[in-house]
Amino acid sequence: MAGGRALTLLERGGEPLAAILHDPALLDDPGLVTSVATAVRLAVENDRLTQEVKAQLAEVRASRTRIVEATDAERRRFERDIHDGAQQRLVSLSFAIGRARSRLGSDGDPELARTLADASDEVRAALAELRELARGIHPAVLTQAGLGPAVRSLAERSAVPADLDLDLDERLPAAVEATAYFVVSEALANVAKHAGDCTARVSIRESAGTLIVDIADDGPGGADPALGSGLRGLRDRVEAIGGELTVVSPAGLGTRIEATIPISRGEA
Amino acid sequence: MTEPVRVVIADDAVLLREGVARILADEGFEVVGQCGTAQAVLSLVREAQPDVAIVDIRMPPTYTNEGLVAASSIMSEFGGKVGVLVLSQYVETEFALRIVTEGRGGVGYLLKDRVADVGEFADSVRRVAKGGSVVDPEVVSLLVNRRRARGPLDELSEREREVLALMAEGRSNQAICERLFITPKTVEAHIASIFSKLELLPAADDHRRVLAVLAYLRQ
Repeated sequence: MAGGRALTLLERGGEPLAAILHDPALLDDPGLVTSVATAVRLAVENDRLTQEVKAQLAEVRASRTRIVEATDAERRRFERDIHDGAQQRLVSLSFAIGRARSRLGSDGDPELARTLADASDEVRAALAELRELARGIHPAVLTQAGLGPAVRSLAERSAVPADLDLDLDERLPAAVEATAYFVVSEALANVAKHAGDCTARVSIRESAGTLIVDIADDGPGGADPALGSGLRGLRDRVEAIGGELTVVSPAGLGTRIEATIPISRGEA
Repeated sequence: MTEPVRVVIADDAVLLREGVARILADEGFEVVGQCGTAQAVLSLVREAQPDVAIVDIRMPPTYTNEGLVAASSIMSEFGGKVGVLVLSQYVETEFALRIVTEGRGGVGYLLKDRVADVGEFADSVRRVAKGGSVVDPEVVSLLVNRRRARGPLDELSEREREVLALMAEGRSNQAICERLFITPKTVEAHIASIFSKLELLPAADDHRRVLAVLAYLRQ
């Protein structure tokens, strides 16, 4: 080679992998060139594998996000099916019973009146149960009015007093809102279950493209660091959309659950 | 009222829409129009000039809050001449407050379940037609019974809590008397006491009273 350099070509599977430019004198020591060649092969191979792993990891993360979004869409559809299906039928049934009671009037057969009254109570109870069921699947208020009103709704129904500190200006991507909502829902349920007579505080704010959801209670603390299945599932969900969930619960100092969720407004 | 109260009904579920229409017709109302979309209801109201527009909150195309938007449009365009009663298959305090806040004249927010209580429902529609406010008792219950840290609401007596709830539902003093079997003077005394304990200014009319109470409870 011109310029007094030698070129040793490394190949892999018939394809060029790397080229080592070196002093021709090194060719007198084939062992040295081989060692260097091996080292170069390893480095290049390493690099290639790292790239591959990164690409796979990105793909896995993307597919996890797609799964969460698909699940959310499913839940919204399910809630709508309940609303438009069974719930509507029961409402219609209640109208029919109502009309019957009205026609019977106050001087109709008392036994019939009682039967209709009982039927009316049953339908009402069924409707109330369906509403609760639907709320557990996907609360319509979340889709209609966003995270703020939905969390407020949770606080209104919470078995422990829940103070709210919500700093939310605009709507967030659906997966973010749903995840944040279910974290608050599970956290409040846990406070009621484990911490008993205490107050919870829910705070939600946005900071540098991240949603920070905080639920703290002033109960006894000392929660088992191995999360209950509900919170574990939620952590998986939070992580699936690129966030983190941590639980801090020193004995005697209450429990605090914090979820941080990235908000990428590019996707909805 | 010698003339029948005229209503239009907007709900994309035909079965329910007709169910409401039939119940109201039985009770002496005149159903002057029905439609299944939020866009249609505004033109229907313009055409038919009803006393009350009964609107489902959830309608096409997105089935989220088209009904609320339609209700707002009717309230702002007809400024109190047409009462608006919003029906929903579940209730949220968020919407109760929005609707009552925006209402110019008669305004209401009820669970669809309430329609089956024919006499009560007819009474609610009449109240809205006359310019009153109607808030579903379940919404009020959520607000009044919400778990809270100790506060002014704990200072209310049991009876005062009952009166507070009925005020939040939009009932008039007369209606509260009849419900609780007490005299008008007693009702007035309870109301004065409630407003004083909650540190609320007395309200100019029933509608403002509902608003004041709901807003207080929803803090």
